[in-house]
Amino acid sequence: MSCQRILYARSIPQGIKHSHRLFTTSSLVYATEEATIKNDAPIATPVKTLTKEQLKKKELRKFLKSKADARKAASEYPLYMKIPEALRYLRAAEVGQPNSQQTVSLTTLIVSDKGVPPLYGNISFPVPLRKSKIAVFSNDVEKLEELKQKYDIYLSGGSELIAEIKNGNVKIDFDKAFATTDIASSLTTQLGRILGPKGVLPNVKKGTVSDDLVTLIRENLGTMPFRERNKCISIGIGKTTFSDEQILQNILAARKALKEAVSTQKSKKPSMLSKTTLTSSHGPGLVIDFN
Amino acid sequence: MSKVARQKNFLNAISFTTKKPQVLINPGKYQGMRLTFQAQNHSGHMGPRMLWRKYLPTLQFYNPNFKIDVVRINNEKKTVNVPCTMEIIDNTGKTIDTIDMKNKMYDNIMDEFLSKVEHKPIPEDELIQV
Repeated sequence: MSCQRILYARSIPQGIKHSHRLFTTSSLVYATEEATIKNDAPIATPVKTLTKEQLKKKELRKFLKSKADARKAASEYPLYMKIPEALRYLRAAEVGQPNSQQTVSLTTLIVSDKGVPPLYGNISFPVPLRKSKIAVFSNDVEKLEELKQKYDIYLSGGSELIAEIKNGNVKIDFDKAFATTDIASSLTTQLGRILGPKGVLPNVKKGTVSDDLVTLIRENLGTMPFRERNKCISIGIGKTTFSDEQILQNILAARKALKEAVSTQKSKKPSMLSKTTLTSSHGPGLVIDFN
Repeated sequence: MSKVARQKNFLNAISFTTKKPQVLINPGKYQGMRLTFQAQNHSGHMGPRMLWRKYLPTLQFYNPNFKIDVVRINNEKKTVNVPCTMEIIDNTGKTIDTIDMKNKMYDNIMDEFLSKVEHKPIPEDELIQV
């Protein structure tokens, strides 16, 4: 068998058919071999498979590199820019686009060990991008009416609203949800699967369940929530029509909130904020100094 | 091409390599411009679209306070006769000049615009290169 393989590896003379009478036995073997292989599918090149240990090493190397990158100064990146200059480029790239598509956003990579809980928190922007939509769940109809009159509430209701959301009749496009204690448990059981992954499930731990809804809403009205997803946090900071100063103020507010989220993280090894880019809907991503 | 090189080319196209729109439009006289054209290419509307894509970013980059409005009208079924105009607006908000852009190349439209507007080219040493 090994002999046959070696023979096949030799250069093939053109025009040999396997019906040809050949003089040497070795050539005869080669001719039949060629005929069988020609009928088959082309031979695929062997795929390099890494062993478990190699994979582990590779992952570790990648993690250490990302950690080293997180310690690097922003100015060391090849496309580092100061914020006003970056905004000038973004505004130029966004020229003529509809206003709804001119959002400037900030993306920060997060470097964290395995098993560290994701970062989350709230940012209160000095110049908000849009009003945050609030949903309130409560069985107390009078209280809801009172709240509706006082604040701009997007959705409110009791068990009937829960049923509507469960059926899919009501879209989940609100940013925040609050609930009273009497309805919280039924919310978790019925809508936990739907609201949980979107991060809008009222929860005692998060501080979004309370009987005193008035103070809760007052504290949270002007804030936007953020959450770490796929090892990065991306936040809409403003529109290109905002002035440089307004965007800078918002970036500072975001920075404050992110640093607070890192410092209050319940973990032995806190996450690190790495490369931060400023980008817009159609524009390039430009690295800025965030630390 | 690497990711960084591609990005650099993109940024340089805005600020350095596109030569024709590297001008400073007299800010004391003009407020902005408004382009109206079709979202689709047919009936001679490709020129303004290419002008928007190729030249307007650079023009905006060197004239940050010059307002550029782009109004694109959807006309997939070719039923409506969509205007194809560029209006130049002065500081009082009045339209002082209109350029018909139909069936014209983006280069020619830019030439026509520059011939109608007071401007001066940006000196070579003030151009920004990434």
